Amino acid sequence: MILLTPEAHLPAKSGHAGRQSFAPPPAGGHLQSLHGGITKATPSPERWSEVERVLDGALDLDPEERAAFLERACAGDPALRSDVELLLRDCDRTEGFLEQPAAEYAAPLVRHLEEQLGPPAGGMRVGPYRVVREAGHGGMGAVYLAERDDDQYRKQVALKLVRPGLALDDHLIRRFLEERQILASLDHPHIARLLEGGVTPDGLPWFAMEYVEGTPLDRYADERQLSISQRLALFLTVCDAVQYAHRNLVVHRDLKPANILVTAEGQVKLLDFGIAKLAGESSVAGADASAAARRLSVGVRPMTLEYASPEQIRGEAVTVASDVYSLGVLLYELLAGQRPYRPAGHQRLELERAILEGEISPPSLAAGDETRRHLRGDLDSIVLKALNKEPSRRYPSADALGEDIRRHLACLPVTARPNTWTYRAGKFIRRRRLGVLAATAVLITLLGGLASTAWQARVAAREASKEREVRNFLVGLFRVSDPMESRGRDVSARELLDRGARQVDVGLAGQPEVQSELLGVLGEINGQLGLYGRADTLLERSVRLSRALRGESSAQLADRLVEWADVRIEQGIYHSADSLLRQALAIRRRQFGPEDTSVASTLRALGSVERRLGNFEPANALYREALAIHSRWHGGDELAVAMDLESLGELLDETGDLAGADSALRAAVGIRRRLLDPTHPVLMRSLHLLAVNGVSRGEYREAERLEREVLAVEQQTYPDGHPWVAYALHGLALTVEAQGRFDEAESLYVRALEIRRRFLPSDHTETVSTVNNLALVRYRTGDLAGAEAGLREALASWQRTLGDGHINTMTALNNLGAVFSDEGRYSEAEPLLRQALALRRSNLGDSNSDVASSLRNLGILLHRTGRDGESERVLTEALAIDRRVLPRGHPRIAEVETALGELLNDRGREAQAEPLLQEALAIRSLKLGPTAGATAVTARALGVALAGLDRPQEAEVFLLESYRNLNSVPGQWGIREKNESLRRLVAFYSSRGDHKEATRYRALLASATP
Amino acid sequence: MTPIDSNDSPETQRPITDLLLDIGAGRTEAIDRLFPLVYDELHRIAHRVGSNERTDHTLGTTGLVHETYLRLVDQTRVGIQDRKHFFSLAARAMRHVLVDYARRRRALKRGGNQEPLRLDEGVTAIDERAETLCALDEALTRLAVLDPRLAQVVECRFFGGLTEEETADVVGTTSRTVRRDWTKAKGWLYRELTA
Repeated sequence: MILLTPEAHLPAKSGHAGRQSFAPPPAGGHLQSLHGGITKATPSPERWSEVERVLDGALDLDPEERAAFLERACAGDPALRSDVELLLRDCDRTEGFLEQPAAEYAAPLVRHLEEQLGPPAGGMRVGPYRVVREAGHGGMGAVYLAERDDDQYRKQVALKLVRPGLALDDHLIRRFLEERQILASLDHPHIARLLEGGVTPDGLPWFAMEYVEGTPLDRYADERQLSISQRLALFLTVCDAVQYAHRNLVVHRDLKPANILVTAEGQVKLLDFGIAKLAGESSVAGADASAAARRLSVGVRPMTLEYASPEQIRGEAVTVASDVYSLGVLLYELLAGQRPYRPAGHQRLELERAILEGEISPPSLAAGDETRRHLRGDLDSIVLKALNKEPSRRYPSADALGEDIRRHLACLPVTARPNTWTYRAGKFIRRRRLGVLAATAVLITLLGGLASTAWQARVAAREASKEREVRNFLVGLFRVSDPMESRGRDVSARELLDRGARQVDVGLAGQPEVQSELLGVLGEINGQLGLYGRADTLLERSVRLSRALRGESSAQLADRLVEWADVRIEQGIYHSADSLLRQALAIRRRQFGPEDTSVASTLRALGSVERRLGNFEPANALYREALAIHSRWHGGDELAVAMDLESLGELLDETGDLAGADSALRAAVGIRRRLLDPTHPVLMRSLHLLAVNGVSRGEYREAERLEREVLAVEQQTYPDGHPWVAYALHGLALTVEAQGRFDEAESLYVRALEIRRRFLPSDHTETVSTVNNLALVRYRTGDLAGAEAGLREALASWQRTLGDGHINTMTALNNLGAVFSDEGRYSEAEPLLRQALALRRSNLGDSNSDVASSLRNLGILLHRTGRDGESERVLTEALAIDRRVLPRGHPRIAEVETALGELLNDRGREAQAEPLLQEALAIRSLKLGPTAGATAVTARALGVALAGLDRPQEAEVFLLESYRNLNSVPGQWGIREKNESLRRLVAFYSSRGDHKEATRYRALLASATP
Repeated sequence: MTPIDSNDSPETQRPITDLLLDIGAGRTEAIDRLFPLVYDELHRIAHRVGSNERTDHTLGTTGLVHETYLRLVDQTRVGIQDRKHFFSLAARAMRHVLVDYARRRRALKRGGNQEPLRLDEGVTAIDERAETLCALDEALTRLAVLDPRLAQVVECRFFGGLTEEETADVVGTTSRTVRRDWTKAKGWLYRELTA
């Protein structure tokens, strides 16, 4: 019996019935029994309302009348009655239960806890420290000033400990330990350092940090009346610190002036990673999954609203971009003297709405008159970019933000501004004189947004010469066309170039040195615009002039040689390019030493040539050497490193190291996204290469996405066409084709080819590449004549320009053979396929997917010509190679498995065929789609296997499905495969004795086009 | 009553009152924003009271929620409806505050707390209360699934310390129903805790 008195305490589940609730239970036993009572199944709400209804009725009556009532009300439902009865009994008993208000009941508990774990009073000891006083509030509780209790020295630290007064304990302690762990991993001069940590006798953790005595950043700047440049300098150190944290995977999430102190010595210190999170985890400060828990963790102070990013307010994933945003607000405040949002009222709600939707007026407008001039333009753009409401449109990192500020300070163009004539021209005028080639660099960048970094690099290493003449010349050019009409870029560029070429001859006849330089410049520009014929002529003249003027060893000659080689490469004249580059390399090594950046870029160019010639090992070595030099040079020229990585990636892709290629290319993209304008052609190329690699790895949809991005940008930049647009079209066509969308692919290839034929010489490898691919697609769509013609053209061209040992030639051989084989022209096909296979083996080795592809084609041919034994051997080898070389789930594996499966079926070994076909079907369903033609072919083969294994129900499903899907595939190939499906269906139903069905399908077969 | 802390300036009152009015106007998202503020306030009170023995203000006063109401809300701007919303919120907040303490005690005991296990009556009574509060909280959560109104009545009466009339206001029914609800709920809870 449990005693109940008016001041009754709640029932104690001590299991000691009959004793007073204060009797000491066995240690632990008390807890267990309560827990035991908790896990019970609760009735459903419907059930409950029934119970309640009856209960209500019963409670209204006197006890004597209840029995009869229950009898009636619960007729036929004894369970109901028993439930109600039990409850009734409890209702009667509970006189004193819960009558004491909870607050009173809990009072001793609260008091005890607050006493035991109250805030540290002065003098309290924590580890080797003694608390002096409270020093402030952080993101997660109070911070205390403490001193070390030694005789030797009184070091002051900032002490943080877990203190109640906030929410859930486990949660709190976990967060606290996270902060400690985060701080322990950060070691940076501008981040408050963790000194040591421990656990109090109560079992609660604490840690001691470097005690920073300083002024919040904004006040510091105001008190000392710092100039804009000085403020920017301070801000840059903050960016550095934040970037460091990000690199260690820590997102601060609460950046604001109060957390950024500046000491008396002018040192910046970043504080309070209290609500910091390790990057990759989402969620707002301290939130758990359930909203209820989020409300409970309320004691963790919500991030300071004024500096919070839109996604933080919405409770979405918080990333480094959120920190960038907060930095943006900080920068705004530093520059303009006030915050970006100042809603009329001071409501939290209004401020939230402003941050989420409100427009920000540029800092220059918000600032005072003195600073407005400085802020307008670059700084405005930089701040607004950082404050973009879309995280992906902000700077990708604190570093990128800092970088742009540094560029502004150096009078270089910042990435936040659009790439216009006037902007860049203006920038040039303000920049310090850097010599002749600086002027020419301007010309290039003005005329098409081309990569100017290489130029700048060279410029920095040169001395000024002939500067004035060249500048005057260029200024003269500019004066002719109004810089304001910047829209029709290409047209005016060509005009300028023509005019330029004429004037070089005429106007600079007496200055051969300048002539030579400018010829080089113009040649390069022509090359960049795809006008290779002109470029070639100009450059050849420029080289000749340079040789005549300066002899064989001048640095200028090396420059001209490289410029010329570049164009040669684009024209596909590789051997010539190779020799030119080697000459240049020798000169540069002599003139500048082996570690010079110009040597590195020459090495890279040479590597590219070797690659195109198919000499992969030498290419690899050259690229790596270039990469090493660039990485070592002056702390790393990042864009050059990116270029090297990209080249390496291309090479690895070609030689089959797909994963390696993917990493290298991604690294290059990463650097470029950070440093370049989002529409920059170099970045586009990177994305394209990444897509190509994606295709090789079988990630078609991702690749398609990338290519579409590239194409959109290229088309906008060059509406009249350009080799780069063709590049993008071709790339996109590849991804689309790989997914089986042949008609779409065909039209894309056609467009690409048209552009390439327009701009490039006819044997140019890119043109031929498109010819090859187009031919294959035509084959798929049933244009056999077109396919054969295209393939013959491609093969002939590559044999001519690249020789037999080149990958492209082997591809063409393989393709032609495969097409013939598919058409049944086996005697023509076989020699081609065997030749391709032999070439591939000898050039690529035995672990290459292209070899497997050849083996597969050969295997299929052998199967079709009745040489099953050899076919099996060949196909098995193909599968082994592909399984070894390609990632799991690659569509090529499915191709081979299907071929092998079909063979094994025909040899009566369906048991072996089945697992292969199951896997192939899974891959194809996933990568190509469940209703794609190729998938249907595999399904059919699987159906055949299952029929042979006497599993007719399953077999029927697959056979029918295969027929259904192939029925809607257009073109010759589709028709052929559909008929094969019909044939198999007929065979299936016949063998099962289902003559009705067999006849039906036989009729369909007869009426179909043979 | 001695004020616990002078946090009742118009400055702090304004946002809270605004939020309360928002709730009345049907903007339910304001509930999420008001709740933490009320929670904070109640917690602050509990904290001060608990840590200072010599106060003539004991935690057990049933007027706690009322007092908080007077302190946090600008009376001149709100009506009876708004008071209702506040009470409902405050009762829930009070529940959270107390259950937090209970859980903390449990966690401390479990989490390697160095405190030696004493057979001292005072201490074990505290553990008992902590356990019971947690069990009650959990049972109440289950009751809310079955019958939300009953659970709310318990929250108002037991945790919030509201009178029958005040509870009836909040829940939207009569005192008589509240009384009946209270009986049923207690019966159910009792059953849950002792089964």
